[in-house]
Amino acid sequence: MAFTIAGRTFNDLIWQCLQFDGHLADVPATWERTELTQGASVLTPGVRMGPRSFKITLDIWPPSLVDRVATLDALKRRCAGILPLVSDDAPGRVWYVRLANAAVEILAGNLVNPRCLVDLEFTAHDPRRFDVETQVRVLSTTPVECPVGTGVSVPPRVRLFGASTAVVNPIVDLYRFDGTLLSSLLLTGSLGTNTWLDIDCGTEWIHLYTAGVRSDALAWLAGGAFPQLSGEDAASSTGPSPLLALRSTSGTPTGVVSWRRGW
Amino acid sequence: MSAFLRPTAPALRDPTPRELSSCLYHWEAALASIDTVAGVAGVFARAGTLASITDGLGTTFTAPHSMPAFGMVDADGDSIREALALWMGPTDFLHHNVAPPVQALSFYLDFIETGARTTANATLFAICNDAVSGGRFWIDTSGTYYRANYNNGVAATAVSTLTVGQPTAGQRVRLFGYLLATGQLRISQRIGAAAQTDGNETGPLALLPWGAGAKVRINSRGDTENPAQGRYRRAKLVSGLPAFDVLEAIR
Repeated sequence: MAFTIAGRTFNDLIWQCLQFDGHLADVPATWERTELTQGASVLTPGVRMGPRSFKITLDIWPPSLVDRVATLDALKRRCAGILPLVSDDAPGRVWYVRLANAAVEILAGNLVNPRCLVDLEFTAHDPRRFDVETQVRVLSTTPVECPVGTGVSVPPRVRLFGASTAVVNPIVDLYRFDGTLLSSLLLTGSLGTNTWLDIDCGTEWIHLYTAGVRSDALAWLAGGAFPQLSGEDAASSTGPSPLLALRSTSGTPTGVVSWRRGW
Repeated sequence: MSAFLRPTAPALRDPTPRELSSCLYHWEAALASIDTVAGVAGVFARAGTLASITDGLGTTFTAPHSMPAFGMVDADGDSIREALALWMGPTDFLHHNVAPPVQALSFYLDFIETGARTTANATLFAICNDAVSGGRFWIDTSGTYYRANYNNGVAATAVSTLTVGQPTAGQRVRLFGYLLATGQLRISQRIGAAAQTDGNETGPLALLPWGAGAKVRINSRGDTENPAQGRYRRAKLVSGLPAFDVLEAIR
């Protein structure tokens, strides 16, 4: 895996990525916070938000002691200011980070050996809105978690599939992480073979595709609310996330949901 | 959700990022859209379903008739499906009604191999009109190695072919290279984190206008000609000849 800072790669310098704060883990990643001990709606100083940090260790082998100074100076200049940090593993994710701490370790006896290690710790302040990597989950009658990270009211894109045994009057249910039903989107119609519904919860519009031909399907809307995924409906940073599930009057409802989570 | 955070209208929402692109052409699956980053509408077609698409949890689904199949892939072999990709089979076609100016440019295609390489002439990316005529550029396969092609509509096709590196199903492949103002062409490849390998640089050839109605296409050469397959992540055309890390990172 390679990282780029401000569009320039660190490939030539990375020796070890000690910690990337779980960015690749497909798990709920809401902000760090201490749970309220006094119960809901009682605000106390116990609530805190922690930074998201990225620690990278560089193994630098400059050709001379003078070059070591020049290399470190160049590195410091490259790391100045607020920088877009991107991993080529997930290029759709951009964190805006600031160098929080840097430690240079001169190896023992290296007064003549210019090799050194540099620990760089970057912090992503207010990382909301900068992750554009979309998540995808298959939907069925079994609720599926939709981690939204730090996102608040993230509009998902729901696509409901037709089937040879028609899916009649599908319903999209949104649950809080603990299983409490928050809202339902009620639709009226029948989805048969080669048909699917495209529900854009951002624009709150619905389209029907029949063998590739798109038509307006807002008339399918029978009631309820377009689901909005939110970190407010998730538990703490390690807890579960809001869930989506499908129902229908008859047939087996299936579909897929995509959304952009915060970070 | 707190009642404080659930107003009636307008809804409090994170704004959907709308990026501007500094590329001549830039499509990115991470945005979960068939439109380009700059907002040019994508035209997608598949007369049938596409099975075995994987979501972020590894659950598979079958994309219905004509639905773009965005699924999640493990791009670096660590068993975590961290990246979005547009899964395309041999009956999937995507094009954008744009064509860059005829000029020195670099191309970049990032995808997960699913077996297209062994089908001779299967085309992953192209600037080409419906009739496959006139000036055109495309990336396809000899059946053994991937290659880049340029035909100015008059002379014989210039072909730059890789001679090392045969990606197998599931591997991440980045094909990139350049078309110079002199008409010279070269393709390069990176498979996973492996070192770059280069194809031959072709000889000079006059750069002539693209064929009338040229479009940028993913997964085919013409409207139906030479479809390939793959899980596509990014496609870019960039002015000039930036270094690889810049070509990779530029948005």
